[in-house]
Amino acid sequence: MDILPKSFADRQALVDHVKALSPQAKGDAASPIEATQANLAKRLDALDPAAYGRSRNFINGKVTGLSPFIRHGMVSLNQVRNLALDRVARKSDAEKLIQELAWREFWQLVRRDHPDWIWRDAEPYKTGFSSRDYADALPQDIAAGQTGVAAIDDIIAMLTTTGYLHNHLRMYLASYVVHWRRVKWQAGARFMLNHLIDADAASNNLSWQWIASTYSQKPYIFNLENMQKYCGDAINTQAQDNQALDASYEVLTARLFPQQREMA
Amino acid sequence: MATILWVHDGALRADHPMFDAETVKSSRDYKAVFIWDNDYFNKAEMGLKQLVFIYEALLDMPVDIVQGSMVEVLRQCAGTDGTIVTAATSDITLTQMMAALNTSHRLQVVADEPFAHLDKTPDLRRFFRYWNKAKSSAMQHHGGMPILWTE
Repeated sequence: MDILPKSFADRQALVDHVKALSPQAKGDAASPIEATQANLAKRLDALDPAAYGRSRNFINGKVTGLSPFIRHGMVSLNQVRNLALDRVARKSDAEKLIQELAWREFWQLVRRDHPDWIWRDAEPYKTGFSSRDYADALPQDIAAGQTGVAAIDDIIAMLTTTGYLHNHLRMYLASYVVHWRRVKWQAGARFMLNHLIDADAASNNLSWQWIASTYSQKPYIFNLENMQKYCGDAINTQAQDNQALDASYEVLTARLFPQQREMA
Repeated sequence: MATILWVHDGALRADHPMFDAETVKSSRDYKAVFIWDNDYFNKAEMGLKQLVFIYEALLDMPVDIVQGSMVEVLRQCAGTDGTIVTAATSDITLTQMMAALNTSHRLQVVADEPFAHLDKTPDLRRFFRYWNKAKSSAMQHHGGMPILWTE
């Protein structure tokens, strides 16, 4: 039984080694996010629960970037929670951050009790459509990041180059795949698992079910105005480049879920 | 009798409570291994970026990296009468492997530090039903629980 090396000339040598060990793995470059103790310590030092609570929905908000480290157990939820409580004057200032940690715990508990929900619909869609109405496979233009909707293409490029997305961007992309393109959530979830450095079937797939409405009361949708509010210059949210997203919620709901309206 | 500490991709830190398990501490020559198992990675749909992240995290850990099938490598390392210690997980593939190993070896599964204490099984149909029950514990250091795992 050969023991694999743990010392490399540089990071590229490590990447080449992993490629040789796992040639089947999708993607051709590493994430710039390093799984080092120094990087983890830097992120823990920067943890600011109160600022997180105020700005977490903004793409340039004070998010922790800890998810890859939490996913792989490099830091426990308990350790992050304890640190968050130490950093605030009032407990309530840490509540939003601790609630987000609880989402991670929640998805793990759901998978423990309902392992079949990782790939099967937990509930029917509440979109007016049945699962048969959704495509099984991810369209090639989405996989390639060439949908023609600029903001979505920017998000896909960010995912495939960095292996990381802000949670709000994950929600936008998932909603676009399932509701604009009417593709089964499973196909989109698999695509994200293939690229995220914090890929975890429980958090990822069950969140896709939440967006799809197979694990929530209603489908999650967004519009361009919402993107413009939260994304700033991080992605292209120009109206002329994102016509499919540029409408009111009422118009989008009628357009995306016409059978839901008939049912109502 | 060999003691094998099976480190998997959900517990990549040297202060995970599994390192403090009595079985591990009392074994002078326990061996910690991470098994690079492409079948497992494929089943989990892991891409290159995540695999590089995992390998890089392992560089800082007191663990040997060995390539092969997880169950086969562990059975080989543990011999006929060894003990395998590992971290609890909700991952389906890993729990199935643990169940298989438990038929042939002594297997000890060590839970991570708890996040929140719940008196009874929570309602998992919606997050806020869970959060409303877990919040009072989750908003306290160590979930308001005694720190048993460092003893």
